[in-house]
Amino acid sequence: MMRQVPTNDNDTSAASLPGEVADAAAVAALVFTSTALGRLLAFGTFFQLLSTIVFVVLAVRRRTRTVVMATSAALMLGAILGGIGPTSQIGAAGLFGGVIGSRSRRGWRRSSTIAFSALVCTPVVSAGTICYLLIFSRARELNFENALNLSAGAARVLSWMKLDVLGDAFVNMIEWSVEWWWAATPLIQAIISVAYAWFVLRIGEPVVDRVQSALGDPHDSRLGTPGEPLPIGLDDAKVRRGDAVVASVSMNIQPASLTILQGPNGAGKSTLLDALAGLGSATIDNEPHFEAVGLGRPSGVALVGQRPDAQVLALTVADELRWCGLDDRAASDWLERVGLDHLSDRGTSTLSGGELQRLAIAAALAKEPRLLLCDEATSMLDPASRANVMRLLRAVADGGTAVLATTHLDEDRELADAVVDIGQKSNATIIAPDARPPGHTVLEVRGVSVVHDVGSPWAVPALHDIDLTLRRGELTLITGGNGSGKTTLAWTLAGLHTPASGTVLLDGEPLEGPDLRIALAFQHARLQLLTDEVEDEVESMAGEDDVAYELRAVGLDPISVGDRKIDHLSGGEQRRVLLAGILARRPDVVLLDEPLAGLDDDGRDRLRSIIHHLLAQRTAVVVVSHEPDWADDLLTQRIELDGGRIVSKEALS
Amino acid sequence: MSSASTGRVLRHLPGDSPIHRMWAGTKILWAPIVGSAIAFSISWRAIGLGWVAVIAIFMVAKLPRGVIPIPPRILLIGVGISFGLALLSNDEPEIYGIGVGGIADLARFLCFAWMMTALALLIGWTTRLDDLAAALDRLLRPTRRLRVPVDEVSTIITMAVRSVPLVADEMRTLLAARRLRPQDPAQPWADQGVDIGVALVVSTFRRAREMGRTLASRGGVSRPPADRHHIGRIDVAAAVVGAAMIGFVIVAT
Repeated sequence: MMRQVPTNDNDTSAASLPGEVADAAAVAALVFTSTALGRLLAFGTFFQLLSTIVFVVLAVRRRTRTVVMATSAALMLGAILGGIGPTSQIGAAGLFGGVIGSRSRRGWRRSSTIAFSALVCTPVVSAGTICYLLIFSRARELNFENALNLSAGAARVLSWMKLDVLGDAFVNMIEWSVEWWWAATPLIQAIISVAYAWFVLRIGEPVVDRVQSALGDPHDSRLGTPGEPLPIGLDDAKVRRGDAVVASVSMNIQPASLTILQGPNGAGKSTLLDALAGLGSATIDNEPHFEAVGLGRPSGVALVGQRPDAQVLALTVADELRWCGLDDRAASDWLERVGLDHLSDRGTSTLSGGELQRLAIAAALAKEPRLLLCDEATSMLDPASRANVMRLLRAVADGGTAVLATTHLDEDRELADAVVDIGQKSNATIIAPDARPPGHTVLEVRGVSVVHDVGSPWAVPALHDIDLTLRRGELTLITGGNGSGKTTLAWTLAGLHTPASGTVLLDGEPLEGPDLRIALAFQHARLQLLTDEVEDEVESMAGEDDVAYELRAVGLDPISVGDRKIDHLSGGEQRRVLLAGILARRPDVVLLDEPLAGLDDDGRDRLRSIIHHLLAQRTAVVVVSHEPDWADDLLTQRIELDGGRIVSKEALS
Repeated sequence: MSSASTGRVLRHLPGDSPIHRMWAGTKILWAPIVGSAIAFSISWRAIGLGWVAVIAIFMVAKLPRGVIPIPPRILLIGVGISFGLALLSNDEPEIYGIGVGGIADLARFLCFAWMMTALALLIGWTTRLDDLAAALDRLLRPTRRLRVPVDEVSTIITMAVRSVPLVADEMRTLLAARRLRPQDPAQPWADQGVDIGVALVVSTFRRAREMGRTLASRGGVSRPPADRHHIGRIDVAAAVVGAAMIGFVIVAT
């Protein structure tokens, strides 16, 4: 496994850094969720193994203190899963994962790691088990009685199969273990420990290696050294990530200004913002003072990132601001300023992307920073929310804080005082649309209603009485606001949801579950790309070996990209890999869920040409999007959903 | 992960009842303490009392019967086989010449285990995860004197609870993605597991990296907002009932 030494490895007492706390929280959430699932789905072993491997990854990346914290948090949450079972599962996962991961980090060989894990874990687990058996002596007797009975029953079955020898040996072994339980416990535990450590390494080593190569070293986000972030004057300054020069930039930022930093995906915008925030891995040549700009300090720098989910940390809207040190009054003032006062008691998990970003901006401003950095904070939002957030940033700048926001969309620049361009735009080739022949019906939806959690008290109707016809070579756009049922409709068309009533017909046959003739691309492409390298991925999706044509069609060079790791690609490139796989599969229907989110103008042009390509192949294409006006000239029909119903259906061309 | 099978677990069902209004901390202390007393005795009487409590809580909380999950078939098959083996053991006492001791012991164990699961499910249905995080913070406060870094643990718990719906969503998407791909029968099961594991772990740590930046940008680790839940008569009543149950369990066995 990969070898690396995290920061303050030997200092177990030093307080946790924000990056460590965030990793511990993410791991605790994953372990808690998988333990809950394992308990009820009866695939306990798979989920137990997953939990352990997640702890191995954490221990390879972080110091022991972080692993202990993550285990304790998961244990406390696990208390509501009931009984000794889930608690001991989580504890064992943390123990084994932590010990195995810490050895792998030091580059120990597999055999030494297994021996060491067994040596450390056996006494701990045995001591816990023996204490439990001593205290709950009646439960012990009952459990032993059951073990004896079941083994006697099994022996009888074996004797019918003329396997008396085996049955007797089995019964003798159980009887011996029950009689000498205090000695048998450590013995059995030692065997289990060796076997489990071997199993974890066997499955876990490739996982850890791939995860480590995907993520690289942990970049620690930490509070900045107090300092003065403004003014910023850069003249053709080189921005570096590690040793590599990523971009060169000239700009000038004064208080009370809104500056837009514009450039295509991958131009180095995020690296520049990291450098300006004083986040260690990114630097600007000859400008060491950016290390002391006070990230997270009063009158320092604050940061809002791209992914709305990750910008909000508390569980209710008001708590998010209270956590930043605001009292109730100040919190409600801020909520009013960002237009969220009516949502003060709402759980943050129910907010839309735009609401989350506005809340994040309010929280970022609580420490009254002199400079607010927004890294693509609007790119995942629909046009209306985007305009809302841009107006809010304008107001923030007018209030005296300097705002530097990156974007890759031209329309965001209107309210800015200054626009800085970074990186070159490439010339995308757009194929002009030609006259399309009228297609045959391929997918037909008749009176379909979908109910989530049907038959339980949580049952929610998601779609009502939908009628829809998709024809070959035609493009359908499905629009609607958050919660309108767009994604549910796409999942239903892909056969992932079973309708409560009505039918979905594919080529005249009822659709029963997912079908290879229908492809669906999720918004979060990474979760759909399951193999390691680009070419393998496209081939495995396509079921064929020659995919160079498809890679070129999505604008990826098969020679330079083919053997790249999926996790070294940007989000936009990952989505293109997914599209190449879908192209190569030549499905009859292609469903694209929010393909525009996070794409720059170039990417949008490229997506157009890919869709055009699909339409020319006589594929029926469905785009689910917040943006109703995109690709008007290619559209055949536009459908608007609201509350799970079709509220308008427009035939074009 | 179809919502039908997992949707009923750990899922809050909004309602207005004394159980819903009870402080989350009371519930997470009550269940393990009373459960331990019953485990200590593990007599039929104690387990019966536990089930009486489960049914009473179910009715007081006005929960509909539809919340009860259907056990997975593989579990039912396992239980069936175990009962078969227990019957074959022909253990004392005998009824009509057949030893039913094995069955009785197995049934006693299962009734206890399922009672603990039922208590956990009841907490899940009547408690918001948000309230649970705040209650844990409040319960942890006194350990600050033992130099436990309570602020860090509470921050981790709060951010973990914040992440649970995101994790569940990622798992759902991953499983759907798998269903949509052509299946390669030649690919070993373990390799598929590795692929899924890597995708899940990578997106977990990517999300964590962004959350870590957000935390740093907000001024680093600090105590999450304090629990404002008022501890009232319902909580006292729950404590009294719990104490009475423990007393009965000790006296009756």
